[in-house]
Amino acid sequence: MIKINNIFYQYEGSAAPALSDISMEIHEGEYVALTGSNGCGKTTLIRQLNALVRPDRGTVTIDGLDTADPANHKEIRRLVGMLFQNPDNQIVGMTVEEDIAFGPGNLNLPPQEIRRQVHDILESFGLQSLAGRAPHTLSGGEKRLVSLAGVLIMNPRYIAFDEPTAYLDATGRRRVLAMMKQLHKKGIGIIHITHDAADMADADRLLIMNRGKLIRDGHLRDILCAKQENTGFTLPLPPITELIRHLNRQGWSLTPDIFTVEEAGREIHRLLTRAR
Amino acid sequence: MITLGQYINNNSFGHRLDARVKILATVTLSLLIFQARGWEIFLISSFVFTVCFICRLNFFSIWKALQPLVWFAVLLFALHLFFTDGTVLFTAPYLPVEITAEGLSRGLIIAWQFIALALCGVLLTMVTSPSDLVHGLTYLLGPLKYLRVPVQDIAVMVSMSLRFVPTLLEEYDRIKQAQIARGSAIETGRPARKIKSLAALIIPLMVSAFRRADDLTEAMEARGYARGPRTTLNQQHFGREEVFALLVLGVLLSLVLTSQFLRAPFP
Repeated sequence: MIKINNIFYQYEGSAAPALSDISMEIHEGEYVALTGSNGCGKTTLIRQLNALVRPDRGTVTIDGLDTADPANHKEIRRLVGMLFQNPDNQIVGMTVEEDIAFGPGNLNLPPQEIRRQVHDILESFGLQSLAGRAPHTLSGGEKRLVSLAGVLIMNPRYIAFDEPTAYLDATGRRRVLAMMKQLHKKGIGIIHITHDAADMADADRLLIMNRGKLIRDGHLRDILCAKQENTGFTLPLPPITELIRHLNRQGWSLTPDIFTVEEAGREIHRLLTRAR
Repeated sequence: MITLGQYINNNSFGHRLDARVKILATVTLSLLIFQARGWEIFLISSFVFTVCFICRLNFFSIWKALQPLVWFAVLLFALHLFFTDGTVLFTAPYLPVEITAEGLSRGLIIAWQFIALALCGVLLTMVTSPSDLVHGLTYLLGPLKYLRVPVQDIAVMVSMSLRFVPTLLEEYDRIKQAQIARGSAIETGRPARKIKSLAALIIPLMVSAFRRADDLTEAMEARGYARGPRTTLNQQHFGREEVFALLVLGVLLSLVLTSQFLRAPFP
């Protein structure tokens, strides 16, 4: 379990704290979406989970390991994988397979074991044909998958994704979201930073941040259904929900709280069957 | 698309060889090239061309890689040809230029040495992937760690630099296009304006490179990187092919050294 206990963090030279009074728990296997306006502290918060930054006050523990203790950092970085916004700056190897092998190399695994693990992960991602390719020759979606493979090879319990669908076309975006769903099914805890309400559909829980504070923490459906309070941040509804509400205003009588295409399909099918 | 290096794996004998052997062979050949005279030049040249043939390298791509250096070799040849004293072979009419036998032979040797050295370097990069090259060098420089030289960290730095060369070149191209779209005279203006516009290109490129370096450091840390020993995917292999290659290299070395000893037994 990830336990954040009343943390406060301020960047050097900054007038306002990046994070203040944040407390929460994220359980293993939970899918948490994290949103908020630009500069509200989302990325700083997930950097705390990987011990890239440590709180000025308060504690962050990952499965009981305190991020303040440097002796825990290696294990914490194995437990919590991080996917950065721009995969170009995350891929460090000269070839795809070398990049994937970077993490196990840092754990000092023997070369034969690294090769076996790299082979397995390339196979599971269907990336065997890219093994020897240089990173700059890959498409945006492929780069994203390679960086995800580089994180997964460490066998993490949680993965923090910082806007993983940024810079991707529709196909790449669908592929990455499907991959995240699959990982969640396998029991890996997902922390997903996104601005897009449609991308949050699979999340068990939604966290909203504003000016370094956690202003909402609850089920996605509850937050989207409830009238949004005046907290300084308004979460835009998914386009499918907007469409359903628009249809209702035109005289249709569809359940208003629909947030996914599947739910909308079922509801429209129900209505049409009844009309026939 | 920007490509880095000239390595294309065609699984030839030369491509399969362990990088350490190839680096050792290149260093040995380079030393021999500096010492070679007379028939040794023919021997080493034949050896290098045979290696190109065995590695199934395209002679056109070798020529393309060497082309930018040929002018320098011509310049070296001309300098020695025109400025070496000795037995006059030819005097240019109306010009204070004399061509001597010594100048001609020295010019030819120097130009050959230069081209042969460059060819060895090109050969090495054509048959060895950049990562194998870095790992091979890391191994060969390994003993330096006893002198507290952080060989592994240097290897990570070198491979990281090589990894980001194409990315930065792409970035350079993007910034250039953006500046041209905004009316920059980087391609069309007078030289003075061009130089001035260059600043508008270099500064954003530097800023972007530093930002990338910051992100990269974090990404490496997040994946458990810390200074000190680490393992890699690359396994060095030393088998029959490597032994054979070293034997052939040994024969070449003995032939050249014997020839040099016979030429000047008591230096």
